[in-house]
Amino acid sequence: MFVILKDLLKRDKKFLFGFIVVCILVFLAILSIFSPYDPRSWSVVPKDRPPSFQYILGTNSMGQDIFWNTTHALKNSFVLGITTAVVATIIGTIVGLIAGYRGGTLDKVLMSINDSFIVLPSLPILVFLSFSLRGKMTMFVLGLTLSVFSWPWGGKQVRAQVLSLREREFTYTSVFSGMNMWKVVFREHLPFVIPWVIANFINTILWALGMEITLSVLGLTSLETPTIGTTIHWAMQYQAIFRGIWWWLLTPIILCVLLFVALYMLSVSISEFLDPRTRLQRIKMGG
Amino acid sequence: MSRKLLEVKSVVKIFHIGGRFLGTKLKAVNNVSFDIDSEKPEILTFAGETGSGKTTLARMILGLEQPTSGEITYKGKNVSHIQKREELLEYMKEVQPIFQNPFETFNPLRKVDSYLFETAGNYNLAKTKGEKAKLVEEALKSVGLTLNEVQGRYPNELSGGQLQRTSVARALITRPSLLIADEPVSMVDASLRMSIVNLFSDLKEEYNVTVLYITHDLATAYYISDRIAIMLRGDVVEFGNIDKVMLSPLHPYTQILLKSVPQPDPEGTWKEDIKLSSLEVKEFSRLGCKFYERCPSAMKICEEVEPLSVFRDGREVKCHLYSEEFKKEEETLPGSF
Amino acid sequence: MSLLEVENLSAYYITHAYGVQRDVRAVDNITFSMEENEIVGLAGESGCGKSTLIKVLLAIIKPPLRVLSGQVNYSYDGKKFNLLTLEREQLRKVQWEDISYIPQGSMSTLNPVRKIRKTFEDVIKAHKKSESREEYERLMEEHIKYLGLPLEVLDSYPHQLSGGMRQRTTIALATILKPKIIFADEPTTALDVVVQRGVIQMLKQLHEEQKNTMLIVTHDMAVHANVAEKIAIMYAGKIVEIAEKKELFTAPKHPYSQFLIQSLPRIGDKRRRTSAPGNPPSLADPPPGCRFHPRCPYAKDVCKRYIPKLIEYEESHNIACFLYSSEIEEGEEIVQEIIRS
Repeated sequence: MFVILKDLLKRDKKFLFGFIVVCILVFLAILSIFSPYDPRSWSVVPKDRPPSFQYILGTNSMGQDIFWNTTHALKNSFVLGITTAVVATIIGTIVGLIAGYRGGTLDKVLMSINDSFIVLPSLPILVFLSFSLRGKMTMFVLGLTLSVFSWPWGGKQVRAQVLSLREREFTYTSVFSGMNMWKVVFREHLPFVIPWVIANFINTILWALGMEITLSVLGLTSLETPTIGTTIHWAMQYQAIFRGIWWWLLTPIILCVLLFVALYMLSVSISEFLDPRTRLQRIKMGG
Repeated sequence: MSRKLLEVKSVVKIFHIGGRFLGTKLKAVNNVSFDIDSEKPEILTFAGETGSGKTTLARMILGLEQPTSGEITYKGKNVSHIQKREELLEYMKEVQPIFQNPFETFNPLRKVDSYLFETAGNYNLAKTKGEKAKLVEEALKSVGLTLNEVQGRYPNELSGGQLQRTSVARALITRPSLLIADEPVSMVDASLRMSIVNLFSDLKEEYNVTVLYITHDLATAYYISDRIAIMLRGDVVEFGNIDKVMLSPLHPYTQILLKSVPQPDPEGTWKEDIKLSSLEVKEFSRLGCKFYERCPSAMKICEEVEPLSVFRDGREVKCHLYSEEFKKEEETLPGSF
Repeated sequence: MSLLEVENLSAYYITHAYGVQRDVRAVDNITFSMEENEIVGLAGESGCGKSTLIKVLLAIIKPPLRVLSGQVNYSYDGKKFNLLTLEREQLRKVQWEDISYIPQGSMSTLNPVRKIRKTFEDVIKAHKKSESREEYERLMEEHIKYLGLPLEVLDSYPHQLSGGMRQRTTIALATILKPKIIFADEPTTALDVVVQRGVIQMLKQLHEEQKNTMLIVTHDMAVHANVAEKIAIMYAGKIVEIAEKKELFTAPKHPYSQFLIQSLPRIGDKRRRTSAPGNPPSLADPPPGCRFHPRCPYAKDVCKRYIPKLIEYEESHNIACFLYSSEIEEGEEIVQEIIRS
């Protein structure tokens, strides 16, 4: 594992970039533990100060330190993204693997559930849910809710892959080697599907972050919790741009772009690395 | 009457192409019956061209496909009635497949030996790692390999011949009575092909394994088989002792097929021209004899009436040329032989 | 001068991935020639480089394939050129019109979304601009009829034809411009025996009519026995023996050819046949010296160190084996240098 990481860092610039950026952002998120201020309290520092030595990223109109607030925002956004992605990916992958492998009635049932979730209009429902649950909606609960809408996409992709894998001779070899369904699915088919799963995992994080920003900008999440979205929301609420407090709006936007680009790079690079074709080449080269 | 290892009774398989209602029906296997004696191991070949139904037949025997009608029984048990996992394992322990493409037989992302150890473990043949290794080593030895050669290797690190041997070794671990080999040498390099073919006849002699050899290659079929069935568009048109069928073929299709086999003989080049088949689906759905359009000795009856299988000169043949004669002699049809 | 002369041709697949360079020596210092109006069969197992050789002889060279050394000299109708040094424009003119190709897997030359008539028209138009529409309609239909194909194929789409019909249509397409030389890569593989026979018949018929030179590549010795006049045996990127068909089948000289010929099963003969021991080498890491020495029962010390040169042992019988001569192949160092640079 460590060797692979070293290899990727050394050989793949995309991975290097993505990895470094994500590491820095994670480090910032961890810093939130040492935050001297409670992110929910207002007026703990002077208002509207531009970036300086004392306040690295300045302060906002609510009297909060933007740097420390951002560390909390990052932490919350990460929690949200990862919760959504983990839950959605696990459900999607398992459903896809089983539906694809077993086929028949089970496949039909699972896929009709899958399709019904796909056709659900996610944004209106989320808007409605957030509106009615406002305040009770922690990052974790929001993550779970989002995962309900995002698992079917991954599930469908995985199933399509498995459908073709199922007809390959090695699947029959493993069946006649006496392996049961779980062994065949997880040992034989999963390695082929992993690149898609990882790409999906990262895409789901991106989607969840985007969704959170959308909802927050609309003012539909618990606005006292700092996230990238709520930061943008407040900055716009206080018309930061017109009042020249550019650092307030720019910080979350830059972070957001950095995070999106970095995650995308990681996704591309890992998929490439795990692609069965390039893996086969590496096996051939004995490395 | 001796006990039967495998009995295939009037098996029919119909595929629906392009949807159940709007599509056409394709009879991939049409009323095929044969049996294999359990006392006397043999190599039984099913030969035919692409789309003759030989692979579908093999898949049905392996339980990967259900017959539309008819039944397949193994040691008296109906294969399609297998429901429970224990029963399935019991059956798979006895009947093992060898596949066509050795590079596809094993997952390219996994090490080859893992399949051998899995087989030993999953059928409860061995508990400890050492016992498993012993079984694996034995199986590999019987195909002329050692554990050292395959251990820790990925499929693309081995040659086609080595992989096909490993595939046979894996199948042998459970000590099966029946091996179903679907085109096992067509993807193996020419210089190694005969060693794999020889392996099958050695296994028959030494381990009493019956091999169902499915191929389009009549030359290797002649080389190793005891009996042969020639298939055409789902029908078994001629079935019997290998020397009878291949050295003095009766069915016009078998005759043309044998004439078309290129012989590795620099003198024996073909002289006359032959007729090629038209559309495949047309032949499949033909009411009478499937070979009617191409047959040099086609009669009127062949167009509409499906010929019956009759017993003639030591083999079964499905052709009006012989069944007509047969009727005149007014003999009864033997069901099987 | 022969129609085609290949000299010291080396073409490797060179790939880089995650910092490791890998060379697959698909065509490894090959020298041979083909005369006019000759059918040569090129035999060898899968992965011995025979398809790559064809690609180089046709100058279809795309990375990672790289030609490292050698010449492919054609000379006919008073023209003389090295195909590998031609300009793109000239190359396009020569390909198909003079040097034609029947690929393995007939789907690739027939455009799946166009009627076969259109594909034929495209080919003729691209090479014979002067002729009128009626003229090439006539040319096309005559050719199809001559080859015994029903005219309906022209108005079908490729997927509507059976595999055998498609393969024969591809052959018709490849030969419509009456090329001087035709390269056929496994033209009968994956076809049923009866269809296979039809395809072989067709190739022979074409040869009779157009008097073109043919190089037929297949691993099936039985097909060679029926078509070829001369047979070249390729092993691990090298040609090890070239001989007249009869000579090769009755008295093969190279140990590999001997194994290959004697292991062929024949209907009506159940004598036990054995394969060559061992396994074919990987072209990425071939053994030093004679490529066959690890499997050869007659291997001597010299075989392990040096590569035998393909020499004329008897008239029109060339062999590369130290059992028959002691000449050593040269040029290995040069190729190694090119790779390193």
